[in-house]
Amino acid sequence: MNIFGKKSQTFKPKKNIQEGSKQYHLKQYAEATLGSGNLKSAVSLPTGEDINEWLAVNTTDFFNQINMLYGTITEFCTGTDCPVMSAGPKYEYHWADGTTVKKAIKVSAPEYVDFLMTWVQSQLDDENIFPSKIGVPFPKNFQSIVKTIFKRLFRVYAHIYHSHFQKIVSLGEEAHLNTSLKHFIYFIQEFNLVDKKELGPLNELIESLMKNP
Amino acid sequence: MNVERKLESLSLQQQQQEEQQDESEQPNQGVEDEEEEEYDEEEYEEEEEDINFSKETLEAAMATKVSIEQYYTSLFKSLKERDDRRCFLEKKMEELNLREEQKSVKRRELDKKETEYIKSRRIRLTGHSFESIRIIGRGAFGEVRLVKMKKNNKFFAMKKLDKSKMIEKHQTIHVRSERDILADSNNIHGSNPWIVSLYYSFQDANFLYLIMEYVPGGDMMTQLIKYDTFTEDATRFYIAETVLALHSIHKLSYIHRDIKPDNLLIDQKGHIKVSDFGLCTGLQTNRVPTLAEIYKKYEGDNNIREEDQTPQSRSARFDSWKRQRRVLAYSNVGTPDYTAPEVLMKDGYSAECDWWSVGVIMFEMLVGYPPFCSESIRETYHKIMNWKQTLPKIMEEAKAEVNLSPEAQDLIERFLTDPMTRIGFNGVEEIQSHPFFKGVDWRRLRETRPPIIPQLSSPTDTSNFDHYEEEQQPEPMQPVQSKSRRKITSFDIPFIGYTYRNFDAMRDAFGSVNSRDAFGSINSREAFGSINNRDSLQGANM
Repeated sequence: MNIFGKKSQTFKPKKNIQEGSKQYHLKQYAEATLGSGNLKSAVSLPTGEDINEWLAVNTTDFFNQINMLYGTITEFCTGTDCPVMSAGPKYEYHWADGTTVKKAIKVSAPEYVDFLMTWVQSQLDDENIFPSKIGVPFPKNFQSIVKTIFKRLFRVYAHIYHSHFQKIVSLGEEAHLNTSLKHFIYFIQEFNLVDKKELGPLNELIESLMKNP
Repeated sequence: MNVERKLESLSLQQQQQEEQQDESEQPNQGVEDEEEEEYDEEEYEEEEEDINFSKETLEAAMATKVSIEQYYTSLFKSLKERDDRRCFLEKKMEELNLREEQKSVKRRELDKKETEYIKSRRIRLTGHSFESIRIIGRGAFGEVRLVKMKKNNKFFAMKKLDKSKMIEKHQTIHVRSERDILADSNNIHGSNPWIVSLYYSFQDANFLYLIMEYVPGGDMMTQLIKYDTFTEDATRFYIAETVLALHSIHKLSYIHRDIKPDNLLIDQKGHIKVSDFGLCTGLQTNRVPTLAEIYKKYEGDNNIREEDQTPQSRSARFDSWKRQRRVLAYSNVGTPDYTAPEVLMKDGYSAECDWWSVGVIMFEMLVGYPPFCSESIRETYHKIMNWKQTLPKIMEEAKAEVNLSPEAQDLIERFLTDPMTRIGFNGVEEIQSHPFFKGVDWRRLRETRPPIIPQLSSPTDTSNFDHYEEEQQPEPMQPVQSKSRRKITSFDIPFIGYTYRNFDAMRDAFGSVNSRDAFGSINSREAFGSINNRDSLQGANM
C-alpha cells in the first residue's frame, strides 16, 4: 500500500530521484567548510603519542559531533519518513550488535541510530575497552573495536547526507557537517579504519570534499 | 511485490561487509506507480526552503554549530600548544647541552604527560567526583567550597553556579568571562602566579563548576577587618603585588573591572592572587553589560542635597564601613566604591580603570575605609561621579586624621584622577618608578617576605574564611542519569564550550608514575628543573 498517500505534494517520490542528480546536488555543497585550519595534519599521530590513546580521544570527539549533528534533524528523521536505515537507494543497514541482537533486524532509521549511538556510548564508557585510569592498558582487540565504531558512525553521516541534507542546508549547518565529515575521512584514511567499500554511499561527495585544501 | 533487498548483517563476528552485488535490480513496478507524478527538481527545492522548523530544532542547530566551531578552534589551538611545548623542551635541552640519553629521558617524560592529558579529555567529571569539606564563600549565583578530589585526594576550591539563576539575571557572559581568562592565563611557562589557577571546568544540567586552586589565606577584606589599617610598609608591599598582578592581566588583553579587597586572595605564603573575573572583559569576549546600566537609576539626581552629606567623624565612618562591608560583599547589589567613574558612565574605558581601583584600595589600607564610602549607595555614586569636588575634601580630612607621607598622598591622588592623566596610563613602569615604591625590588617581589603570613594548622584549615551554615539544598540531588545522550537545549547554548582541562593539573590530579622512579638516574632539578619551573623561566625571561 502507498503509505505516503496522505503526504502533501511537497513530497517527492524516492523512486524518481536520479542518483546522478542527487550526487550532483550534494557535490555543490562540498564547497562549504569552516576553513579553520589544516585538518590533514590535525589527524596525524603527534610525536611521542600512544596510538591507542590518540584513537580513543578522537573516537570520543567524532561520536560527540555526529550525535549533535544528527540531533538537529530528529524532527524529520522519523519512523514514518525513514522506515529503514538507508543511505540512498542502494544501501540499507540492519542492526545487529553481536551480543544483545545477534541476528540483524530491520528497524527504522531513528531506531537504528539510537541503537548505534547507545552501543557506541556503552563502548566508550566501558573501562575495559576505553580505560580512563593511568597505567591501565588498552585491550588487545582495541583497534578492531575502534574500526567497528567508525564503520557504524559513518552510516549516520551517510544517512544524513542522503536523506536530510536539504534540512541541514536550511539550518545553515552544511559547512559544519562537511568539515566534520572531511575530518572524519582524513582520520580513517590516516589509520586505515574503514574499508573503502563501506564509503560507497558518499564516494562522489568525499572525492569533491577532499579535493579542496 | 517488492523484491527483498540483500541486507548486510552488522554482526561483530563479521568484520568484513559485502557490498551489494545486485546493481541490475529493476525499479519496482507496482500499482502505486500509476499514481506517481513527475516533479521538477527546482520546484522541489524551492518548496523545501519554506518548511518551518520547530523551536527545538532551531535551537539544537544553533548549539551544534557553535559547538563544532568551538571544537575546531580548540583542536588547532591545543595541537599548536603541544608543538610549542615540544619545541620549548628541545630548545631548552640544547641550551643545557644535555647528552642524548638525558634528552631521551626528558622527551619520554613530556610524552607521558601529553598522553595523560589527552586521556583526561575522555574523563567526564561531575560534581560527584569531589567530596565537599566546607563552604568557604557564598554569592548571589552559587557558592565556593573546599573540596577533595576523590580520585587523588587533592584539595581544590570548587565554585558552583546555578545556571537558571544566571540566565535569569543575564549573568551567563560573566561566568564565561571568568572561565576564559582563567584558561587563557595558563601557557607554556605554566600558570600565572598572580592569578588563581583554574584546573577544570565542566557542567551538568543545572550547574556550572569551576575547579580552582585553593588559596588558604583568605582575602584582603578579611585582613583589613582584622587589622583596621596597614602601615605604609605593609601597604607598599600589597599595592606593589597588586600592581604586578594587574599588569599580568592587562598583558593578556583583559581588564579586570572589579578589583576590590574581597577579590585579592592571600596564598599560603602570604602573597596576593587575584580572583573573581566575572566582570572581566577582553578583546575576544562578548561585551559584558556595563555597570553604567546597573547604576543608571541614580543618574537623575544631579544635586547632592546638603542633608545627605552627613558629617561624620573618622571613627563613626570607620565603624559604619566595618558594619556594612560584609553585607555588601555578599549582596546582589554590590557597591561602586572601587569603581572608576568612567566605568559608571557610558563613555568607553580601558585598562586604566583598574588603576583607579588600586588607588581606592590603597586609601582604604592606610585610612581604614574607602574614600567615597557613605551610608547609601546613592551618595557613594555621587561622590565618585563628582570626584573633582569631593576628593580634595576627602583627602584633607584623611590627612588631618592619619599620618600620610607626601609620597603616599601623591600616589593616591595620581591613581584617583582622570584616565588620561592617571598614573599607569603610560605603562606600568610609570607606577613602578613612583617615589612611594622606592626600595621595592620588583623582580623579586614574590620572594620577599610578606607582612602577614597565614597560620595554617592543616591543608584543610579554613580559619581564614568566614563560617557559613550549611543550607538545605532547595532541590534533592537527583541520581546521575546513566544515559548521557542528553539532548542539547536552548538552556545549554550560553554554556557551550565550558569544559576545560589544565595541562599542568594532569600529573597532579591523576597521579602519574613518579618520574624519578620510572626513569631513575636523572634528577630533573639537577638537569634544568621542571619545564614549568616559573622561577627559573621568569628569571631567564627577565
